[in-house]
Amino acid sequence: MARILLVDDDADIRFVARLALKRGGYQVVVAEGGDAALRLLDDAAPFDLIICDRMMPQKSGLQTLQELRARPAHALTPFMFLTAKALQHERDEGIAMGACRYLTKPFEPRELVDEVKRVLGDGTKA
Amino acid sequence: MSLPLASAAADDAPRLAATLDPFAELAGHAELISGRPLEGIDARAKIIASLQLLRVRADAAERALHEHEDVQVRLESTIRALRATSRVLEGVASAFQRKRILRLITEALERTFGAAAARVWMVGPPDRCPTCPQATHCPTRTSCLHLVGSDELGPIDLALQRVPIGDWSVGRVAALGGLVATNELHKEPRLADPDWARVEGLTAFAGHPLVHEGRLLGVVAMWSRKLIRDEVLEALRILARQAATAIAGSELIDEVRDEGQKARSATRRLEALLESTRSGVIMFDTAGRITYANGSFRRLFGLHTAEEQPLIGMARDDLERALRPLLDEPQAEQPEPVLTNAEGPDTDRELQLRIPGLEKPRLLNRYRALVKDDSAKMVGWICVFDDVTQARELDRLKSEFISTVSHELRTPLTSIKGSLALLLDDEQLEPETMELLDVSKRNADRLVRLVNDILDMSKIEAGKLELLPQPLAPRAVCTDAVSSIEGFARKVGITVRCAIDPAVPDVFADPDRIVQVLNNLLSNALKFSPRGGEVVLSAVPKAPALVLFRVQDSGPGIPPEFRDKLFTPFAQADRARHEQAGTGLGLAITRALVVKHGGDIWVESELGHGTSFYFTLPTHRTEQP
Repeated sequence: MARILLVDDDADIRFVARLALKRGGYQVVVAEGGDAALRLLDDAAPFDLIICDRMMPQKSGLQTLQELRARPAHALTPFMFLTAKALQHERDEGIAMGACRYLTKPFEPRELVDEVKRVLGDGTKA
Repeated sequence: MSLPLASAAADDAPRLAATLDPFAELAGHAELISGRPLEGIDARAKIIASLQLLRVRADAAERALHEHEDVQVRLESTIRALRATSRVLEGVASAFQRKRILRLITEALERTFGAAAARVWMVGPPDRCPTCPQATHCPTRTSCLHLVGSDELGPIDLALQRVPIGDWSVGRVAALGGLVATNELHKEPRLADPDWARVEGLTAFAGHPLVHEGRLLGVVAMWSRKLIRDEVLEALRILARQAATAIAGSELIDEVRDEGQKARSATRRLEALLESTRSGVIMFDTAGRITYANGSFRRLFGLHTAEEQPLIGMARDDLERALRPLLDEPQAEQPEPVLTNAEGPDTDRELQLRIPGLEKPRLLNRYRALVKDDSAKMVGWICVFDDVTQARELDRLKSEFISTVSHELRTPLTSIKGSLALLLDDEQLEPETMELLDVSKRNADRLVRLVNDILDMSKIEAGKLELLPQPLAPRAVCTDAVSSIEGFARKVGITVRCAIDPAVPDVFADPDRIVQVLNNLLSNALKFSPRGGEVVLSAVPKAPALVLFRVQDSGPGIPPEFRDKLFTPFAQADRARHEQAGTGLGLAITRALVVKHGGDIWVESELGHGTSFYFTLPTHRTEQP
């Protein structure tokens, strides 16, 4: 079962997205900020996908992505933004930083799962 | 002048006649005179006859002498009068002020023509008629003679300050329209103040109207303690005529001066207005020289701190060279000039300038307008500069605020929508619960649309709407749009049909935005069509290089008075009756999107026969306005 790290400072988003992904057949670990996410990445078992918010206190999503890419172990881990920053240039910026997907809020749970499937393939197979 | 000869002759003649008797003496005298002896009664008679003849001759001589004297005196007096008159007239001709002209006349009458007092009255306006003390004398009560200011206000001035036309000697002059004169003032029945005349010893009066081209302007009058002779009357007549002409001229000059003053005061008012405005205003003539620059212009460009530069008369090119370094456009190869010239259309343009002494760059909006005279001939141009730094900053803050708020709304909406969607996945729910969740989801969707529309609108207003245009097949994009709305159409019982001309070429447009445009128009059409109605989306080629799209509904139509407002934000003729309520921004955004693509959008509607929205899209890349 594919393992996903979900990073968002909003507890409700964490809850809803996690439930949607769980129902989609994925294993989800949540972190409430960039620092917590990086710690989990260093300590826990490797993840197949990181889904991350952009606007977070302390460490932003972009910063988190930057620091992540600086670590050889996670330089290639697929990274997906899930954010309310929906402007075209913001989207371009996220992709340029190395995200493979850019999903904007508000999203339907189904959309999220479909999007993850497109990155990881059918979760149950992994 | 003393006349001893004349007096002696006049005195001696009667004495001569009285001594014709006794005869002896006379005879002796006669003999002496005739040179031969005289006899008897004949001789006496002859002598008497001779003497009588002599007397008659003496009388004639005396008369001739008198007449001669008189003529000489009159001649001299006339010459004097004429000289004085011509002197006065010279003064009158060179005086432009009514008051001066009148003073010259009255002074001449008093000093040269023996007037004890001379005054002028002008026909005045009926401004004080209701309260005038002379009202009871006044037959017309619309106008009368007003005494022209005199320094020594005697009883005459008080009594005759206002004279009704036709009343008293002065008024009679005006009423008769010609010279009125008397050397027997005591017989004059219409004296305003007989006591005054007696006390002052005044015996004569003469008055002449001031008439110019048949118009009565006033009256000039004089009183005298001695006889007013004909030549003085003649002088009065000449003076009055000349004075009337000069006064009429001075009135004309006053009028012209008033006009000039009005024009000058209008200019001053305009200048005060221009000086008090915050807009910088500079004016050029056709030769490109500065004809005016207000204080705000100097302030905006930091020209007020240095020595006051004489901008007026300076060439536009010289000032442009001086201002050019202030432009904050390092990247521009051909920077926009600070000051425009007269060419091109009147347009607004924003310039960013770095003003010495100011930390932040200033954003100035410049407007150029041509100045034309009455015959539409260009006489110069004017540049108006407004500091819009603060306004633009506020615009930026507003966009930022809206963008932040709509971003902030997205996160909670995501949680709500996500939770509802996950709940609705459960097929075991009670129908009522399902319905309630459906209501919540529908309204959450509506909020999302509102947030998106507000964000779009703020982007449009800030000019930050970005397009990613590409060649697009109208058939594909129309089919997509129709299929995305089909579920809703089925639900409200309306057929949606696509009619795409096979010859229609590709358009050059942003696919997401065109789908948004079609969705807006289609959902509007669905909202306003009755159940069982039909909505048709068609596309045909349109010369030159355009595709014409049409969304036609079978609704009630749009009232004509509402069609103009249709494309403005939050304009809804009829609050949407269907469940898919709008945001009020749909058509405003739709129009902005179409216009941004270089297309046009309009509506045709007939009450009771449905509405058609038309819009065009270019088939090639076009300049985005």
